[in-house]
Amino acid sequence: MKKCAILILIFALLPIFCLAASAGDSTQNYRLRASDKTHKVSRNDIKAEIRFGKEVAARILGKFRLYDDEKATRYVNLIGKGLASYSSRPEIEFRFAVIDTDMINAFAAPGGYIFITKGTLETIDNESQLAGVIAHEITHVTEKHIVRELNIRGSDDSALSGLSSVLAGGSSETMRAAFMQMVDKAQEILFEKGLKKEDELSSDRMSVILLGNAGYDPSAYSDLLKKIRDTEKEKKNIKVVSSTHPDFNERLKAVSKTIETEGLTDVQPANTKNRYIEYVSF
Amino acid sequence: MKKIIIVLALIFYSVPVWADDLYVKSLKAKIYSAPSFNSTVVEVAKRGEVLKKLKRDKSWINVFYSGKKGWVSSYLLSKTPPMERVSVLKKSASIEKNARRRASAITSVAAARGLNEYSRVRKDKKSYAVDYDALDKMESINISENEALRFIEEGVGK
Repeated sequence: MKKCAILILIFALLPIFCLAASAGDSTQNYRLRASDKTHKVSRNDIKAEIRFGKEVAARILGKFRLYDDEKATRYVNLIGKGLASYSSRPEIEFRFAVIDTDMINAFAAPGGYIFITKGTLETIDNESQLAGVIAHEITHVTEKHIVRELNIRGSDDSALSGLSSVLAGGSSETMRAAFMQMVDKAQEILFEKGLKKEDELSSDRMSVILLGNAGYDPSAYSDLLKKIRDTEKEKKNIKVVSSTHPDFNERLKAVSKTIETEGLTDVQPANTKNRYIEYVSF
Repeated sequence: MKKIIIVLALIFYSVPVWADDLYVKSLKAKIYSAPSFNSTVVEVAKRGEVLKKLKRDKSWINVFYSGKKGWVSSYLLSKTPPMERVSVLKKSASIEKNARRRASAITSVAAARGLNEYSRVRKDKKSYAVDYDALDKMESINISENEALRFIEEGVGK
């Protein structure tokens, strides 16, 4: 009877031990998503991010014209929105555009506005590589790299308190000026300074996992980086991503490690070249 | 005595009452038989559904869902339920935009805003061009998540 009571006690306590172990695991290993950090994200924060992103997107479109190819644009949107459906931010509607420049690069504005250059489409070989470029930009948005860098929030405790009302026309000129200065800073990050090195490497790592989740061969991401690196060497007059991104070899090393350690090796590669050629032609 | 042990063990191991609840954030989350994209898909969970976390292996989570155990990428899950889509009403966003668009489709921000103070604050900076018509065009592309997901699945043959 005594043995029985001890056993019952052990079984009763086991879940508590498991719970404690699981809590430890979550604090040590759980991927620290931007949305889980520091403060609870409100719908006003998201609205502020989208409104801010719209301004940044309008600036990007003021600098580069939209590429006039409906078929390619729709194709990029289909791939982009499909990949975004695997992202951790269903609250955001991701939008994609091709911009008319030979520069080999892509840009992500907060709120889900993503731009890929015509030069990039000309450089890459297949849909898996295109998915790689887009996945990289999507993870900049899901991890809120610019949002965190500039501390953009819609709630009252931020430097930009009342940001949500700025674009509604209800705030002071000073507030409006402060808002536009933040947009200036975002533009500087995108075109001149670049994001933090760790943010870029984190986006690389998460991109290959996003590719795996969507069914693409994650190794296409390494092919993409090599292709851009080689193009940079060949065409010295074309502006490429390296001016705002970490060194290609460092990025390739980080990607290879992720592919190896995260069970992403030996994924059967689909032939995605034919469909790419069908939709993207120059 | 043996019966008691068996019953207790069955209760403990078949119903993971201690497990954390994790929510699916992606539109779909494939649950694999092993922590690898090469393994068999045993089940597919949908956005908002709850999975019981059993253990973790790098970025893979061993879960209990719909009476089955399997592995799912941690990147598709979250401790908090997915938020509803947030939209920014055109009306509020377009007040300034319309004023600027009247001036010109593509114009310098500072000039079009007519914001003296703003111009003064950034008088030493170059002005930037904006294009809201192009932004509207970008936002007008209407493709549902399901349509896009089907397109990708056709492309990768899954």
